Amino acid sequence: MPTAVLDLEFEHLPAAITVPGHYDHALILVRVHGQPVDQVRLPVLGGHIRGAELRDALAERATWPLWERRLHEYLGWETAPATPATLPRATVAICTRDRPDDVRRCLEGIRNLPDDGQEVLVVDNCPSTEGTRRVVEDCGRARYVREDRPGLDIARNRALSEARHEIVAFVDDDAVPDPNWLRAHLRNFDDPTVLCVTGLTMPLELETEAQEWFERYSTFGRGFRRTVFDEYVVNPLAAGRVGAGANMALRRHVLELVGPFDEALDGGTLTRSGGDTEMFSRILAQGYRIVYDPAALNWHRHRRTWEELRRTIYGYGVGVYALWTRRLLFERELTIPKLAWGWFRHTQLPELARALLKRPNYMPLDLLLAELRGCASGPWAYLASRRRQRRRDGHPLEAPL
Amino acid sequence: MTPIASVIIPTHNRCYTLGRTLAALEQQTYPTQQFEVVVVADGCTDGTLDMLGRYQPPFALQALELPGRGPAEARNCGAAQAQGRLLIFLDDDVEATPALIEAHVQAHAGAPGRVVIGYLPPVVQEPASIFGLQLHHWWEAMFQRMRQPGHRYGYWDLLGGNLSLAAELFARVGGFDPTLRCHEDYELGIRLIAAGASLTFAADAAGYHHETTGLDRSLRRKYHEGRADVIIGGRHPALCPSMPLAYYDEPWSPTSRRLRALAFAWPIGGDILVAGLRRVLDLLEWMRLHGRWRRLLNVLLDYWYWRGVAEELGKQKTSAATRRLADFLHQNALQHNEEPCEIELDLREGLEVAEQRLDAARPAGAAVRYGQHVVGHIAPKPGAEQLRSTHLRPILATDLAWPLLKALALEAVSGDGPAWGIQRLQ
Repeated sequence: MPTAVLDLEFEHLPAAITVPGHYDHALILVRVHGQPVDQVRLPVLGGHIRGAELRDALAERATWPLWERRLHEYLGWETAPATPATLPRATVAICTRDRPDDVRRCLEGIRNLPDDGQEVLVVDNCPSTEGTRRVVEDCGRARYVREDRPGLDIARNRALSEARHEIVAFVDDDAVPDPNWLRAHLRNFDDPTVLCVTGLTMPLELETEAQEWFERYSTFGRGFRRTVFDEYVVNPLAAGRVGAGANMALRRHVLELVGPFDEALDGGTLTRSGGDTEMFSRILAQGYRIVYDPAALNWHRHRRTWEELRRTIYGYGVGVYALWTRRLLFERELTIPKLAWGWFRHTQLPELARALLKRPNYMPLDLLLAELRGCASGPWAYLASRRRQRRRDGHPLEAPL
Repeated sequence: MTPIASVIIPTHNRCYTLGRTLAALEQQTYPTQQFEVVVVADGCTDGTLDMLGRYQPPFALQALELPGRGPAEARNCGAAQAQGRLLIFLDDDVEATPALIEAHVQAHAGAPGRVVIGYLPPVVQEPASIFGLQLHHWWEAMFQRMRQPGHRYGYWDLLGGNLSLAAELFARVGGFDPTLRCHEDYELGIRLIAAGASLTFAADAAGYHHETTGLDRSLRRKYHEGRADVIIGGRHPALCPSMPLAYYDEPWSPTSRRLRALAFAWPIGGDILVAGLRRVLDLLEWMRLHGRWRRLLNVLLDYWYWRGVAEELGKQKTSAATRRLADFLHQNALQHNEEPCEIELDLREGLEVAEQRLDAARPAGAAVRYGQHVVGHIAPKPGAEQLRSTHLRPILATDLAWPLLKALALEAVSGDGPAWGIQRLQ
């Protein structure tokens, strides 16, 4: 049951939409003058969606961001106004490991960004081939940096220290940025207390069942309303809400203000994920702000196979508990057990019950179990990863508080 | 040569930070011959004057001495001796960025009657403590509000630490009120706004504010704020609704209600209890219970505010003091019975027309409609500047967004409105 992913402008809604015949649904991103305002999911009959059907669906939903955008246009009002001249300069960073084809597509997307003098940096993390280097050399405009210590957070730290400009915008190697992506990120940095901006990530394709499930249950999207987060708005220990590392921009200054990414976390280490959330959490806990801006849009190719999906979900479980372990044992955050219990009691347990009882829209049991297994191994994974990392870097081991 | 700008720095026993402030003024991009610095040493016993005597700055320097009269009188005294047409008030814990004076001067160019509030990026002493975080957040949030286009300024935006205005305007409104030891800058703001001055924020007139206020000092300050509000409220009765003291009956927790009553009825007992709760704060911080810590701090700040109000209203130990508060507010309400000026705006005539009408009338409030449809009411805001054209769109985009959308949609259905998405959806 593949789903076609479409991108339409509200001002020019077509009379009819034709998609290749094998799709039975369509996920449509709706924009008003280029700004994403809503998404609609519609059935496809015989490769067609009637324009009237789309209009009905939009009129029925009529979500606030769509109307708000039209109102702002009437008023000539921008919540975060900025012209290219006043925007800070940026470095676009791609952290990658052995995915030259993805990097090529990502770089093509980056080439479509308006040229505001941004630098493009590819951090090749512990590569096993020269493939990525060759792709970057072919592309020409990007700078290639090789980082031999494996770990996504290590690569991110390397990108922050290598970057020549004040803002570092990260895009995953398996994502493609929208042309307005970078400018939308940058316009939110006019507030000096904003250290990080996250954006909307839409699926690049929904061809397989695994991709559909990923989009439904672990979607990267955080809605269509711009939101300013600080520790009064969101609990820093549950910072996953603010966005994801696949689409984030940081002030390079973050290194001095709140410290580097935790190199014991995230992809390439035993903990598999959690590095981005841990950074968000620290930014918020230290009194700074994070803006989620849906105008900063990129398209992410989700994992295609079920096995990859299960591994990803497992990895999210490990990452969350690894990050909580760090907070509890090394930073004495005594509210962690309560938080973990709350997640289990109010989300994981009900989901499990729904899956066992086969209630409508239940989540596949093997994914739920993978997440729970991940949670269970998170604490050990973190301690082991931290020990390994400290030994490699020659730091003395530090006992938990 | 007469200087164009005079930088006035009141100081009290802070020789070290004053040195840093003066050193920063040596690095200005603005020509050294065109400004002077007036330091008013107020009750200094730490050798500040000796330091100033030895100091050989590249700019003209006047050192004045006062026997401990408070920052308001110190600033007035400095202003009286200043030679420049433009007065820049700088606190002794502010380290100017090189562009500060130039940015202040430029912000006044071609705009008489302007009051420029400079940016004070806070440098907090203990940035890792919850209090440090909160303090940092409080300052930055205040400046971020002013940075928004179309911000409607109020007297609460007027910060004395990095402020500039024409010497003539300062003299015309009568300077700072020397009887106030706290919130004297707010009180000046009230008179400036009443005199029609327009407040603006200048982000590039930045000075690092080396904030040394600790938790206990901030509690003590709250007590003085309570006292100051009674004095200011007595002098400007119309503004009482903009101060916390008008809301005794609306505490935000039962604990606050009891402590407020205690502040009036039995302050000694209240002080002892609150001193105990102050220790609990440290425990909560150790346990990293940020939410509880913040709630408790608010209770304590609230107590000290009301303790100050009660003290100023008459040091009585009986519930008569709360009655005094009621009488005070009642009298103030009676004294102030003039209707604020309001106008009516029809957006169908166009946003630009509505904006021009606001600039022409400068009303306190406005009733907004779109043709036949009522959009809403921009309420008069005690203590805020009169409405200007720049205020209109932000208010419509936020507070009145929903009713305005409805009005626009209804207009569009009846066919007279602007090209609007709804037709396309029907």
